[in-house]
Amino acid sequence: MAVGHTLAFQQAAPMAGDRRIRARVTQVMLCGALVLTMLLSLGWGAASNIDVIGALLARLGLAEAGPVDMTIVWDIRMPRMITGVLVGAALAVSGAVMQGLFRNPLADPGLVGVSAGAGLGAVAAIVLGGLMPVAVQQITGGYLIPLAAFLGGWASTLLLYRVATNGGQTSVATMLLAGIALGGLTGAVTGVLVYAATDDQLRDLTFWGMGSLGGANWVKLYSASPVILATLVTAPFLARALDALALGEPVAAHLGIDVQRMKRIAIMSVAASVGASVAITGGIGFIGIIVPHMLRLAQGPEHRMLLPNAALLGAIVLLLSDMISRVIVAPAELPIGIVTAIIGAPLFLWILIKNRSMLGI
Amino acid sequence: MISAKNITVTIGARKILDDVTFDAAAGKVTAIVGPNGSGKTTLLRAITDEIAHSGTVAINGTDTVTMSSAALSTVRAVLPQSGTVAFPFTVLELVRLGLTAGRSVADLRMLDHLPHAALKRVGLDGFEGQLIQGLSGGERQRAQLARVLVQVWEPVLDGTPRWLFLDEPVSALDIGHQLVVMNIARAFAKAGGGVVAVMHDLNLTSMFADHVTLLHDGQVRVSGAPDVVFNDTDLSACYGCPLRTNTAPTSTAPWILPQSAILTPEAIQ
Ligand SMILES: Nc1ncnc2c1ncn2[C@@H]1O[C@H](COP(=O)(O)OP(=O)(O)O)[C@@H](O)[C@H]1O
Ligand SMILES: [Mg+2]
Repeated sequence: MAVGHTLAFQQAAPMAGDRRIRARVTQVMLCGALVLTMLLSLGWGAASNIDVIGALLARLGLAEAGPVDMTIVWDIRMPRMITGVLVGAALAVSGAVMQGLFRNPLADPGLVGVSAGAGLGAVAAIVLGGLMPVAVQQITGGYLIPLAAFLGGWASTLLLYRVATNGGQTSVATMLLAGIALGGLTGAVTGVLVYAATDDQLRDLTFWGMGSLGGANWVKLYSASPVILATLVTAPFLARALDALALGEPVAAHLGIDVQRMKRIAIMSVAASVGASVAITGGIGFIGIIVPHMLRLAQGPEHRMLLPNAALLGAIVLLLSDMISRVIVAPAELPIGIVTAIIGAPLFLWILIKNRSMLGI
Repeated sequence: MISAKNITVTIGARKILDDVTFDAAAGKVTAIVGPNGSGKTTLLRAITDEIAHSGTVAINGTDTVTMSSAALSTVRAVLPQSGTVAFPFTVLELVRLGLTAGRSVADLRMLDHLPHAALKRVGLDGFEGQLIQGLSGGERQRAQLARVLVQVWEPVLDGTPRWLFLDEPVSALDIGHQLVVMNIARAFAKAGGGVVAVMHDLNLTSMFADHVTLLHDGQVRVSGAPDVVFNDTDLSACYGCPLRTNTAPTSTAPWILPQSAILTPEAIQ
C-alpha cells in the first residue's frame, strides 16, 4: 500500500475514540436540517407571500387558507419537494451501496453508466411504449417508465459488476473504463430512439439529459415512491454485509455473509432506486458520490450509520440544489443536473486527487 | 477435526494441488509448510471453501458444502495471507466486524469488551481509534488477527471445538511479536480449539506445531510430528538447497540450519 494513500486517509480523518457517537450526533443534526430545508423548499419560489404554514395546517383543518395558497403549496411545491427528498435520498444511498459493493469510493451510478442505462430504459418506454397493444399499455400504466428504467439500470449494473470484478476484487480502472463504454453505448442507442421520437415525445425526452424536479407531480410520485421507499428500507439490512465486503469477498464469506445473495440484493436495490429516480427526474449526477464521501470523512465508513445519514444528507443536498436551480436564472429554471454538476464535479476531482495513490490511476 | 480428502485444484491446465489429503485435530496446532508456490495458500483456501476444488472437506464431522456461511462463521475464522481494507475503518471497527459474525444483537451487547481484549492480546491496545491504512504492515497483520480471534473467542463452544485458519500469520512480524502470535495459537489449541497455520519459518514451526504437513509441487511430501517431517533429506529436496537439522538449543525440537552457499551438498554429507 502506497504511503500517499495512508497519508491521505490520515489527513482526511484524524481519529480519536468512537465514531459511532459522532455519527449519531450527525444524524440528529441532519434530521433537523432536513425538516428546515423541506419547509424552506415549500416557501421558495416565484410566487411570494404564500402562507405555507397556513396551507399546511389547513389540510389538517387547523387553519384557513386561500385557494391559491392551497394549490401552490399542495399541488405544485409539495410533490416537487417530496420528489426532491426521495430522489436525493435514493441517489445518495444507491451511491453508498454501489461504492460498498465495488469496494471503492468512486463508484457512482451516474458516473459508471447505471443512470444512463436507466435513462435508456425510460426513453425506450416513452418512444416504444406507444407501439405496444393498448391492453398492455393499460396494465402497465404509469409504471411502464419506472419499470423500464429499473430494467435498464439493473442490466447495466449487472454488466458492469461482471466486467469489473474478478475473483471478488474490483478493478477501479476496469470499472471506470467499462462505465465509459456503457455510457457511450446507452447514449448512442438513446440517440437513435430520440431520432424516432415524435415531437410530443421529444418534449418528454428533453429533460432526461440534465434532470429536473420541474416535472414532478403526484402521479409520477405515486408510481416511483413505493420502489424508492422499499430500497431505502432495505438498504440498512445490507449494512453489515457491505462493511464485511470492504475486506474482500472471501473474508466477507468467512464473516458469515452470503456474498452472492447480498450482491444480488445490492445490485437490485441500486437498480431499483436509480431506475425509479431517473424515471421521475431524469439523470442527476454527483449526489451519489459526494454525499457518501463527505459522510465517511465526518463519521467513518460503517454502513450502519452511513446509509441512513446518506439518505438524509442526499435529500438536503438535492433540495438545496433545486432551490438554487429555481433562482439562479429566475424566472426561468436551470436543470438541476447542471447545479449538482457545478458543485459536484470539482468536489469529485478533489476526491480523485486525494485518493490518487490508492486508486493507482 | 478437519478432514480434507483427495483435494485437487486445477487452474487452467495446471494442477496446483494434486490429490492432497489433509487432517487436523482439535487441541493441536497443525502447520502447513513448503517452498514458495508449493500450494500452501491454495490448500488453505480450498479447505476453507474459498476456491473450487474436487474432493471433500469436513469440519467437526460435517461436510462443509452442506453448511451455510453463517453456520461456518461460528465454527471457524480465517486470516488470509494478505488483504486490503477498502475504506478507512479504524482498528476497533475492523475488529468489531469479527465480533458480529454469527452472534445475535443481544450477545453483542454483552461482548462489547472483547475487541479490546483481543487487541490487548496482540499487543495493539491503544490503537483502537487508528485507521487501518495508517498502520505498519506488522500492526495491520495483528489487527486482522484480532478480528479473527474475536470471531471464535471461546476455543470450544457448546462442546464443539472451533477453528483458526491462519495463512502466514507472522510473516510481517518482528521476533517478539512472532512469539506473541504463536503463543496465542498454542493457547487456543491448549484450550481445545484447533489451529491450522501456513508457516514460513521452519524453526518457529518446529517450536510451536504439533503436526506438520510438508507440501512440494502441490503434493504432500511428508506429514507427521515435527521431528519426523523435519529431516535433512525431505527438507533439502523440497526447498532445493542444502539444509541440515539439528536439535534446538533449549529443547529436543528439530532445528533447521541452512548450510552456507559455498558448501556443496556433497561437502555436507
Ligand atoms: N489464481 C491463480 N491462477 C493461476 N495460478 C495460481 C493461482 N493461485 C495460485 N496459483 C499458482 O499456484 C501455485 C501455488 O500457489 P500458492 O498456494 O499461493 O503458493 P504458496 O505455497 O506460496 O502459498 C503457485 O505457483 C501459483 O502461481
Ligand atoms: Mg501463500
